[in-house]
Amino acid sequence: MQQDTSIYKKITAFAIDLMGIDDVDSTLKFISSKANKLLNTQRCSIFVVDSENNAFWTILNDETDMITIPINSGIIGKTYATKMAQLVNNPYETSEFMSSIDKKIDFKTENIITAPIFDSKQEIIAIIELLNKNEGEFNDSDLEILNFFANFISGSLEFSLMDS
Amino acid sequence: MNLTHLDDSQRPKMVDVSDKNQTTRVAVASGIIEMSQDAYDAIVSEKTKKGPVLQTAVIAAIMGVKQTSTLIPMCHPLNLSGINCDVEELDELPGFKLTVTAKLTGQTGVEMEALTGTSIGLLTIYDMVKAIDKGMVIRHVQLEEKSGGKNGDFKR
Repeated sequence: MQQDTSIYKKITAFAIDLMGIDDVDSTLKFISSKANKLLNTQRCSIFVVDSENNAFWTILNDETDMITIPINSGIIGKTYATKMAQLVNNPYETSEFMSSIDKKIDFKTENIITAPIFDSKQEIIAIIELLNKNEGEFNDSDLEILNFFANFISGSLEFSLMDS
Repeated sequence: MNLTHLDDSQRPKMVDVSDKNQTTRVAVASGIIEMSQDAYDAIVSEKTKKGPVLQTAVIAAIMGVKQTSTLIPMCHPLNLSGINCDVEELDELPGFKLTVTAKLTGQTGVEMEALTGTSIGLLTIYDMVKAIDKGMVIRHVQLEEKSGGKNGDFKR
């Protein structure tokens, strides 16, 4: 319980640091690296909703490697459709899992958690996804932390997307 | 009457929330910002230099709600299940009324969050149009209603 409180305080403090950043690329990068550290994971991706094209866009390895995926695809699509955080500890045995991104970046996804990020109108603007916990599998407490994190960074992300 | 934020020696303490029952708590707060006709017209017609004022104020209010624990001593960071902001245009004033509703399922009240969000939203409006009118007045920041919790419901 004591540890829980401290992680939540870290997240609120991080959200304040994030307010100092304006542009989308830096905001996304800063959020990803913090999420990776907080939950001790190998990768973090943020899939931003492009509602005009019914798709998400995300940056994979570096700024030049931007990809788009259909809004209904994979665990990300499920997160969007259900508006609920998802926890998948056996992706290759799950029908929704899209292994094509793994192939593209030469990566093996072992486990996944995702959470929707809502804007001020309660619409989803992005999905945050964490892959491969460094120790063990994801649990409900990780999901709760990611939800809390998503909730706290949403305002900064909405501002940065509004300006872009 | 005992104040829950003070200990036996009347020193400040963080309220222990671990033994309260989980219930749905809702708090609604509102406040008004009164301004000149010029400032009001600039906001409504979205002709201010800093961009869309009301949309920005709503996002800022929501961020204010979430950051209450970092601003008000002895408040806990909360995972809110719902935050709703509404801006009403008051032509005759002229000015705007901002209403913030904060909701959570948990062990602690959310009136401070709703009040903080309201204040931050109104201050954001001030910040964005202060170039046009420095005499704007923020007033009547108040709790409209709250429900849930052992002290019962409140309605103004």
